[in-house]
Amino acid sequence: MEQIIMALGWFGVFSPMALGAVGSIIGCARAGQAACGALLETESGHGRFIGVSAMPSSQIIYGIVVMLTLQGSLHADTAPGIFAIGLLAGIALMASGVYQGYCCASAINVSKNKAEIFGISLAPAAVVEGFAVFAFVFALVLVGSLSGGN
Amino acid sequence: MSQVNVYYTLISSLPYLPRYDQVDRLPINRERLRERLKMLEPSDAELIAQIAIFLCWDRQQTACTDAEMIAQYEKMRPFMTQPALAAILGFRMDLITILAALRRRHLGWGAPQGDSPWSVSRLARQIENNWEDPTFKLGAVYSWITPVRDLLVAEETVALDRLIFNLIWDRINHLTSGVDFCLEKLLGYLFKWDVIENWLSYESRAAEIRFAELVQEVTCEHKIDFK
Repeated sequence: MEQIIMALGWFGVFSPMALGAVGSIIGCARAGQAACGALLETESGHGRFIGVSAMPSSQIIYGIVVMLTLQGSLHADTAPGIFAIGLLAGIALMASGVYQGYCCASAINVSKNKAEIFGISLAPAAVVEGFAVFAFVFALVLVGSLSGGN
Repeated sequence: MSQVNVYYTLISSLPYLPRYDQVDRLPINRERLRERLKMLEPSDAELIAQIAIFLCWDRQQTACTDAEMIAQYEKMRPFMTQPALAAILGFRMDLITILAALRRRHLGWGAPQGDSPWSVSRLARQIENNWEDPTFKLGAVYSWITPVRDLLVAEETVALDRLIFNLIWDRINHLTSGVDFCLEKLLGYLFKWDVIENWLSYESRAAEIRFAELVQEVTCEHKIDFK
């Protein structure tokens, strides 16, 4: 039984990193494809399109930090909590990466013909990033309380 | 997955299309557009090729018989499983059918005979049965029939064309709003591009007519002076 609980714990430990990676992969790929299309249509400002397409990579960084934090707290009695926190944080990071990719692709698409709206067009992507930060920060806070409570 | 992904690159590579009456040249010419469309998967490319044929045919309606037009439309049917395409083409067919009926009645002709098909639109039978009604009893659904009929009667051809282009443009916008980076968006883009090209070619035709009128005026003035 304890082995199953520990397996769930490890599942929770790796979830933020793995699911965050999935989100970043999909998000960066979509935004990157939009950036490649925009390169065909624009004469300058190529660097910023490629830069924006890398925005969804932050989710995997948050996932790595949460994973390392969870790993240090993994014991048989904290494993169920770590499973829940890790899995849900991972899902939040994955969704945020995927949808931030949509936002970045749209920002690239609309700003290629109207450079002056480039900044404001990134606002939706920044808002989505904000939700990823919430998931990241509160996962760390909860891990702290989980460790402290035991 | 690859079919979905190609639309991110393709749609981002297409320039923004302003409203048709606010442009003085095509944002992207036919050759360049054709080059960009080579990114599509073969099945989607075949669909787009059929649409291109349909749009060419649609523009040359006067050179076709009703039977030829119906046959051409039937060729499009296998591709009409795409909802956005079915909705856009369905609207165009309804519009063309109502316009044809209004023009026919304006010329004093009778209702089309039911035994010889004259339209593939679902409205054909409704129009035949309500020929004497000013809006064929379709005014509640298509509020634009009355202004179109008024412009037709007044022979305001430019205003009529503008109204028709507005209807098509707004309908495409309505059907493709809220979607991005997908086939529906591309279809909307291509139909709007066609409207712009059509409008610009109309403008050039109008310029040719105006030029001919000016030449005529100048020629007449010279004749008067000469006398």
